[in-house]
Amino acid sequence: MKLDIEGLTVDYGPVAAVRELNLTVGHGELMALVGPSGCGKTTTLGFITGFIRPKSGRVLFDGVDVTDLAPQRRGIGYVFQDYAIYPHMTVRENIRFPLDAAKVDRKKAERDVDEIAGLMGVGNLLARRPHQLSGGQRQRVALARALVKKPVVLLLDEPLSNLDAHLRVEVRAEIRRLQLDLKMTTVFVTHDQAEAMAIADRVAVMTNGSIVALTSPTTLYVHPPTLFAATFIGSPRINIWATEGPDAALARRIARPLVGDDAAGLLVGVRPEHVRVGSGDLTAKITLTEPLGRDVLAHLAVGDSAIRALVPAAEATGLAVDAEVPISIDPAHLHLFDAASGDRVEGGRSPSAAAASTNGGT
Amino acid sequence: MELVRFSLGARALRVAGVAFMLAFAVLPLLWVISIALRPASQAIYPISILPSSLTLDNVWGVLFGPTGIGLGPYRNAAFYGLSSAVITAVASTLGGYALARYNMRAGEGLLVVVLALSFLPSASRIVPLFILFSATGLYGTSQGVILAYAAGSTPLGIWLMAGAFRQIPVRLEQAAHIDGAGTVLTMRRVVLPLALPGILVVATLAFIDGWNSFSLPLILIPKDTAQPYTVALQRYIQEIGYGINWPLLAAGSLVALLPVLTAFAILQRRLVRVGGLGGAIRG
Amino acid sequence: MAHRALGRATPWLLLVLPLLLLFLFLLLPYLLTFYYSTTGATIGRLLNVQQVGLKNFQVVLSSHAPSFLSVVAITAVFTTGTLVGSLALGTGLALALHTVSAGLRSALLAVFLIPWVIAAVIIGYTWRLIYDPAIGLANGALEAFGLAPVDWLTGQVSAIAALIVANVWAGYGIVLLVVSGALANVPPNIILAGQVDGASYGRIVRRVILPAIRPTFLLAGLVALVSGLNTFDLIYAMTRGGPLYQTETVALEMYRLTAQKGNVGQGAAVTVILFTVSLALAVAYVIIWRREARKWS
Repeated sequence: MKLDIEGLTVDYGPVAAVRELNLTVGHGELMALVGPSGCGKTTTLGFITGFIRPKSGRVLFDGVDVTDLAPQRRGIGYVFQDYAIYPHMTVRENIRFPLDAAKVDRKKAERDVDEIAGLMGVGNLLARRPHQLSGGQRQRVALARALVKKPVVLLLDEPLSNLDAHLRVEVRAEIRRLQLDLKMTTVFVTHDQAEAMAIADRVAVMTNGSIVALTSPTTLYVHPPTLFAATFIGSPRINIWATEGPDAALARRIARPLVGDDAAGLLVGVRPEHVRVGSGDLTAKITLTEPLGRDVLAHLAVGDSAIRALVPAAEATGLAVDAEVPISIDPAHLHLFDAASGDRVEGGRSPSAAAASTNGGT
Repeated sequence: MELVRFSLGARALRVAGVAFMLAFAVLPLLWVISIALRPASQAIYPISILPSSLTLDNVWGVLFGPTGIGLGPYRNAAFYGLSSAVITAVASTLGGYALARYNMRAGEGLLVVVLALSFLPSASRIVPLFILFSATGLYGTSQGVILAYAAGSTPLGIWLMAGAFRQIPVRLEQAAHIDGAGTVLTMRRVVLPLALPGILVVATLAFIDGWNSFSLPLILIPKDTAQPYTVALQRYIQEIGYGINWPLLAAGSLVALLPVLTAFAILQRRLVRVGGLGGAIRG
Repeated sequence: MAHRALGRATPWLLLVLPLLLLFLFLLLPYLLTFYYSTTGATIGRLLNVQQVGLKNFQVVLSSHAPSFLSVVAITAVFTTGTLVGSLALGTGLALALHTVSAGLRSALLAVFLIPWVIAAVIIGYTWRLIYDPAIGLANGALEAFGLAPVDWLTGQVSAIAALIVANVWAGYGIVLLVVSGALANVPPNIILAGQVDGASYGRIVRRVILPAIRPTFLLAGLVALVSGLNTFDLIYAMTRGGPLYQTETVALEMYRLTAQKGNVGQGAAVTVILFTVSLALAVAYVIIWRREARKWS
């Protein structure tokens, strides 16, 4: 099912939780809404479900306006962050509940429950009660309940936040496999950018009630369209230096191959894994090393400016605090943003800076 | 965000239902007030919904008039109620503190027994107390009645105070001890001030129970002059023929309502919170 | 050190006053009553009473005017009516207010709780006024709709109905309060989940909300039951058990035998019956409450 949101605006009192949001999720697509707390992603999900009445906006399922339709009639599968499975019912009764509500014939309902329970791996838990289940098991039950009615769209609210860290990677892959097998249009909300990146077809980055970037994970990572997207996506965080201010010297030096001396009003960014340590004409002093296992996160300083560099462990053996090392940055891995608007700048010229005609060496 | 999205029809039904219940809740009281405040001549058949004039004659009549019950019964009820409130507050505070602060396995069981006892309404106590008081000479005394009231209000009071004390961290008392304060000082300056809201609720509930009590004084206080208004107002119902003096009875009821309604208005938020904590039931 | 010993004894020291109060004026009277129910005590003769065994119970159970059977039947009808009425109204209202904004809900709750602080006997006088055949609100309303007035408190059926309405008016507030509290503790997400699952509001109430508040609901019900059984003030004020014992409940019978007929032994016997039934119910609900609460941990 194709999902469209048009012009969604939601106010919580004087604050706009969502402003003029437009979004289209294609049939069978897994869309991630990602952003910090309070950015409006859960509100948007609540609007799709029908619990949140907006100041303005429409939602369409396959072109049909369902904005005024009660949640009961939308055929949505929703998994809450706390799973919200009925505590006083057995797992079987929980999963069967949507079918009971639709007055499906009991025998058929039981068959459907068995089928989905098998798919979700909870077939052996059907007689248990929620308080006897682990967090992971509860989540599967919640998913089973959401899917048993063959919903037109699956909505997931922070599905992995309540799971132990090591479970998260496994479970997110399972969710993705399931979604692909069922060709289920899915929207899932998370504050964890790694999750969003790992399994989504497209990622919508939200902040302050608006979508500031909407594109595939790869593009988001390699060509982030805004400063916010660049800093939000990717861990460890991207290095950002402004060409005006305390980091100006470093910023201009690094950006010179791209923009020459015409570097006013820019923000220069480079991801830590693209800072080559060991060769180059820039010298930095190591202030701290964090061994992360596969890599070492090295905190470096050039003058008063800080640089984070991610070095593969094999190459990091000689790094010690207070040592001076040469570093270099390939201009191909530079990201430039306009300091005023945060938009990505291609070709090296800051639109809001004075348009001087010094030639940039792109 | 709304918890349940209702259709327009369901919404209208709900508003109608709540409005009807509001009317049901309020009309009886308004009716009594209306009869109490209208001239006696207007309280005869056929009756009009709205009085054409208001007067305080009936109130004056029931309090000061020749056929009234006088201020005495209200004074008595106040005296019994306040005394009971004081005793209940003291007993509840002591008991509640003991149960909250000390890990007594017997204490948990005690609490449950105490609470179960409080659920037995006072009606089932009238004969037992009558027997006890007659056999011990407490019959007809105000001390007896007050203690009987207090015993009825204390179980719930202990339960409430135990809850209140549990919410005051022991650390505060320990800190006071470390600061050199003795037990008395700690109680006076640290614990009791923090427990004061709970004590006020317990005292208020005990006062209300005492003020409203009917069956106990009915059987335990024979003397006219010592009876509270609940018993005294009965005189208007001794019917020989149709002799119910509604205007005076209504006025007497109105006067009785004023203190409790005022107390309720002031403390209702606290009472609601406390009541919701586990079903405070008045017998 | 005396300090130490005092420490361990402190809780019991603190409990002396309250326990003494409760023992003397709550427990002891009941014990005495049990004893007196087997004696031939009268108001005039309370000491040096002679044992009569279970004769009082026999006399009470086989009495004719009023017959104990009719007393029990009246009590059963009245109590059941009050129970059903206050549970239905209290719970229905709690559900209606559940989805209303907190501020409005507090204000409405306060209004609905007013009967709780009014003396039961005053409530009795109030409703007696409402049911007055000449100037009462009840007949006034009937006449406004063109219906004939009813002499409410003189016929058995109408009197018992009238008593039930008055007692429900007095009691639904506390059911409302307790159930409201329980509803507030129901995790909102399961109510949302129910709607997403396609359930109508009625189904959600039946299969999600009410099961979620079962322990509290049972508690409220049982307390309303015990309270209904022991209702005295209200009935005394409205009908005194009349006319001709047609609204005489067990509680009123208990009073009548003791204070009016003066037969303390028989009054004690009825008290024992009433107390035993009430206590059995009280114990039952503590047991059920604990069992239900454990199912949810």
